[in-house]
Amino acid sequence: MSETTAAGVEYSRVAEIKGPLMIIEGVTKVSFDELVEIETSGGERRLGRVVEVGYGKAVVQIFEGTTGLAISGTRAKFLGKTMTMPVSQELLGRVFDGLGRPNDGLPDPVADRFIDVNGEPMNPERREYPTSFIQTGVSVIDGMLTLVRGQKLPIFSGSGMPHNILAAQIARQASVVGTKEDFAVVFAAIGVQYSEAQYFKRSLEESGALRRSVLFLNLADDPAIERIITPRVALTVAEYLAFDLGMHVLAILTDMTNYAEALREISAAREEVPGRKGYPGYLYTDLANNYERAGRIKGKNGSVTQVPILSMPADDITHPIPDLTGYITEGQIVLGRDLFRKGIYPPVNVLMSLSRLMKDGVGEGKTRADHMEVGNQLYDAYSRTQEVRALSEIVGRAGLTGIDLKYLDSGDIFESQFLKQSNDENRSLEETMSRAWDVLSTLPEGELTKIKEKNVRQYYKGNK
Amino acid sequence: MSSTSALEQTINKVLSQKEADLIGQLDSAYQESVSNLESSRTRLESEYARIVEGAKKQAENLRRQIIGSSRLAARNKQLVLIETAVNDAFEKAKAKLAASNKEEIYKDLVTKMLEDSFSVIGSDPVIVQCNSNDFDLVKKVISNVSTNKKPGVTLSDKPINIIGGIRVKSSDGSTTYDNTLDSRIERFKPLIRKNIVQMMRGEK
Amino acid sequence: MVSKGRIVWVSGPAVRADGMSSTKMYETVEVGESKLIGEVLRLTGDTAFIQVYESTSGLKPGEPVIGSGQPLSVLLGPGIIGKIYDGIQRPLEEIAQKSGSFIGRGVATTPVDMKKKYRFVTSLKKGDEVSAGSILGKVEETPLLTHSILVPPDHRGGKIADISSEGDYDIEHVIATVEKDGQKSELKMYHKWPVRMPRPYAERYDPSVPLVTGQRIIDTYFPIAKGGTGAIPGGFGTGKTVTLHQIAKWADSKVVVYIGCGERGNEMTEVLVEFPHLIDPRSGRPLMERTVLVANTSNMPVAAREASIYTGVTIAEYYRDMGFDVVLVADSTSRWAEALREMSGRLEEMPAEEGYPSYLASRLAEFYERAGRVRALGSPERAGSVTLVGAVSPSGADFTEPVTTHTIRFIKTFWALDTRLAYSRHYPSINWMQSYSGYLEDVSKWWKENVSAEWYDLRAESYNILQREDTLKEIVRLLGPEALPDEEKLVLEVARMVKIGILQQNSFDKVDTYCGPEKQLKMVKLMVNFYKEAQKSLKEGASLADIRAMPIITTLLKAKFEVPDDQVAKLGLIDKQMIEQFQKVSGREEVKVVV
Repeated sequence: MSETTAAGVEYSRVAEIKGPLMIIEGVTKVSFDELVEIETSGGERRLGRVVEVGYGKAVVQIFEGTTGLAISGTRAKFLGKTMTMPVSQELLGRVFDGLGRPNDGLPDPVADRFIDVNGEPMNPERREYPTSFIQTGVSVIDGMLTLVRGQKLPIFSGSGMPHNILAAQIARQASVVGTKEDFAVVFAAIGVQYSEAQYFKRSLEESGALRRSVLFLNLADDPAIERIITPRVALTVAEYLAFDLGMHVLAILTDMTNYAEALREISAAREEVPGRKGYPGYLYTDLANNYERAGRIKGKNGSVTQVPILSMPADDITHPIPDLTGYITEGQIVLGRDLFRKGIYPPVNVLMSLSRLMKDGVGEGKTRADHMEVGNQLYDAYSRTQEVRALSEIVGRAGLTGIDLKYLDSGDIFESQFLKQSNDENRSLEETMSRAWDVLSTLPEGELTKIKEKNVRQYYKGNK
Repeated sequence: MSSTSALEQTINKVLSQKEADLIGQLDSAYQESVSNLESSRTRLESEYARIVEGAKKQAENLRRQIIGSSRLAARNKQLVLIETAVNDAFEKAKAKLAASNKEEIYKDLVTKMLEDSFSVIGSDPVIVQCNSNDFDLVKKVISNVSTNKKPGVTLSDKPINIIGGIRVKSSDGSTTYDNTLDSRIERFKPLIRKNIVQMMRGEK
Repeated sequence: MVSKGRIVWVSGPAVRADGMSSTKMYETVEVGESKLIGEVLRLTGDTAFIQVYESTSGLKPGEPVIGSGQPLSVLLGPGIIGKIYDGIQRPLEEIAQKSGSFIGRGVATTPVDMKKKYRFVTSLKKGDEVSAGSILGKVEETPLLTHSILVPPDHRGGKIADISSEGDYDIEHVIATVEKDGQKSELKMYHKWPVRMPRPYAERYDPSVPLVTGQRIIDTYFPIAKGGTGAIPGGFGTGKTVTLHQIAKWADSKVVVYIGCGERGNEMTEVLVEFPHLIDPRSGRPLMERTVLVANTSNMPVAAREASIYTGVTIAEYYRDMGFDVVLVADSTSRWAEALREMSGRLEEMPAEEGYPSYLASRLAEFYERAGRVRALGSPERAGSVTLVGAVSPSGADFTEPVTTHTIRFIKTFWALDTRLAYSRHYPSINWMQSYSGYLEDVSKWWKENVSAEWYDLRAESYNILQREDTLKEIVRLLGPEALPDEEKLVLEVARMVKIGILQQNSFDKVDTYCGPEKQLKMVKLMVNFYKEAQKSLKEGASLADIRAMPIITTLLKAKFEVPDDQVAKLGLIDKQMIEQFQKVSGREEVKVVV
């Protein structure tokens, strides 16, 4: 529905209020998905959206929640348009609330266009396949979980773990090798604590990146239902910056678990048949509608690279939110409680992590010929290390073979030299690769079955 | 003497031995301290370099931060100024509109607004509100419409404080059709702000 | 009579309309002023329940709904190959030309280019008798594929009253007129077929020819037959899509239909980017010349996702009816089931397990039943097949969830993907203990006749090593590997070699991505020989450490990369080196071995 200036109709026949929903009777000419402005008897205004309409009734979902609303005295004005976000270059450097309204004391942005926040599906035929390596300066990502421009790569975390520190480090350090282009950052805080959002903002400020960032903040004490909209406005802006203005955009959404919970709340209020753990059956489709708003388009310069963050309830990767996310995104970076306890930063559980697009972003002509093979071999070696570690718990070191012991060593070196780094350390790809070969060179040459002969000869540092 | 001297000799010997030891120790301590110094010098140097490097990094960060935030602050100040100007323009336009003489075209507009409201509110009787200036005009429109199309339209005798246009309510008050110029301008505002800004910047 | 009604209710993709008493079930309708496409799912009184294939944002009660009188159908004729369609056969390229990089709504397109001319050749003449499904003539659709123009399967047949001579025609041209009982009917180069109705055939055959995919764990250990069914369930990151891509790339079928059903946009793009450059190992032509894509990605409207499976399988059956072997891969049937669940929820039907409708099982059965090797209707006599491979995405990688458990009942080949294997980067992460194939006996005859009589036994011997390892692993877990006697340690060693050297296959490596039947067999034979030789050497007093240190092991493990398919003779040299090294290890005299 396009922007309209036609008259708005106001209704005051509220039939029912339950959970975040309000049912209004006696309506005509109301459309599905229409934006609604609610005015309480006290003059307070809230926004809502039509989620069902028919037989003279409209079911409206109120973003700010229904607390304090009464059946009588509440008026609903149907605005004759869907929810839109005003966009322009001036959004850079601005801070908005979870619905896209200014939150920094500055006036409404002067809009270049108004864009429906729901977006439209990108035509797969018009997508450009992502192939440009993004150097994040974080060894474990660059070496084994390469991020590619236009990729969606989430961070699966747990409560208390440093996902925001890692995301902020990526946002500060990300660069496309061989270009001077900086990333624009779109940051959406979805139900996170004030301090977390503040950390991110400060980090952008300190690196001077704030003026090429747009922030959307729905904090823990902000209305929960608003969270349905927060990633949508953020991604609408990201798409605009990327495909209208040609910028490379890094969109960070944290925390998608809070988003899914808001969705569940509405679904429950609508008495829908639930899928797993009470989440609605359409959770997959709904998440996909957000995550798929990443990528590149043929003939356009910009790109949207998405790093959604979600906390796994009870560190359980099979929980519906991480599970469905993993099915949609192009890999995942999983943070591990064990490594975190050991004090290793970034505590990336590499075996559970994966970047599906790495194969397309690395290799001869892009990064280095041995990049993919080294990544695979590191995985292989570290997974062997984990097996041997488990075994040595039972049988002790004495029960291990010589080669097993070598794997134990390589695992320790992997964790202390390769994985571990400080949160302001920006490593070049050469350094990352050299550290990777340090790890692999602790193993006999014959163990390197995933690396081509030629590359072993060139880079292997161990005893031949 | 001999016993004493023997003793002394022994003592001397021990002493000189000790002395040699001591000197040796001192010497090795010195050597060690030299080498320590040497190594700590390189360590210090590298530490120094690291501190300098860190400070440089920090200075660079600070520089970027300062440039970034001052540019941002300047831009934001500009945004506020533009907003003030835009609001001024709006207020002036509104005042002009309120004061302007409404002509025949306005009568047609009000007629259309009224007819529109019927399709939304349905068959219920309706109450129409307008400002005191337009009272007579709206009254005329209503009497036309009432005889032609729809009975049960009454004009509220309490004028409302608006620039122009009408507000139509169903008789039970449950549905309101807001077609005042004020609300139209409000809805228009985001759309035409861009034009105003472009005009102010001389882009148009 | 075409029905005309009005919308009375909208909720997401579900719409109710009144005044629809003359509408039929599963009829397609135009919904609203923007003419969105929908399909009737239920009729109550004169109210129709409609699922809409496009976003309903902005739709309101009172807008019109107009029936088409037709069930949801696909257009079948030359021009389909190489295309990428959405779930209801709208070409995405044309949509992009009309609405840009993002998919707009209510875009009207035709599935194929109606103006493109094809060279029509026929051997039929006036007076010849044709029946439903008969071939009227042929046109070259792509350099790889000669397309047969078929009499529609629901046609009454008759005598040819008129047929076009050889020449260039567009597909709207009346190519033949058929007369029966004094009634004439005109046939064009295309016909339409409702997607939810399986296309008829004359007779069903037993599947006996393997679908050669070039993937060792599939072809050698868990084969699928042409006309068979297979499912590949796995949690995220286990490599479902990569495996399906591999099948689509290398399977020795004439046509591939790839359905991206509720999956990632970039995956479809990957196929679009890659397939035109990949060369079919058998024909030397680009793979895109035999591929049809149906893409309804996860963010495209959910109702069209439900339809995409049927659109795809109907196209597959059409090419089967020309006498071709067709492979259809559907990624992922779980997303299709979810679409079913969503519509069922909005219809307020009574849910069964996890909210899925009670008819989930029967819908899955109907879908997989459309696979098969058949004799096509009409003349000349010809056989074709549709092989169906469906990915399943079980939530939480839990194989006891409804979609997986129901699917298992209707398929014969089961490739179970294993999250733990994927974590250790063992790809394809098909678990060799959980997977099975019901076609093993059926296809062994083919292997015997076309590759080697030893196939069945070699497969069994190598698989036996893996099975023994599986049992031994339990002991190792408790006591450590040193607790085992050398003979058993050897089993572990060889199992490791089989896993790395044979089961693991790198789809991104130029050589390893495709491994032909002959190379597969020789590699398995090498491993089995190694095991036998090693056992012998142990008995002759060689130490296990010496065997482990043999340089031939690395050669064996890297053979998959280093020996291209057209140089399999090199594997014979490796065998020779192996024998020599064993002689050295066990201190036997050097004997000249003739290869």
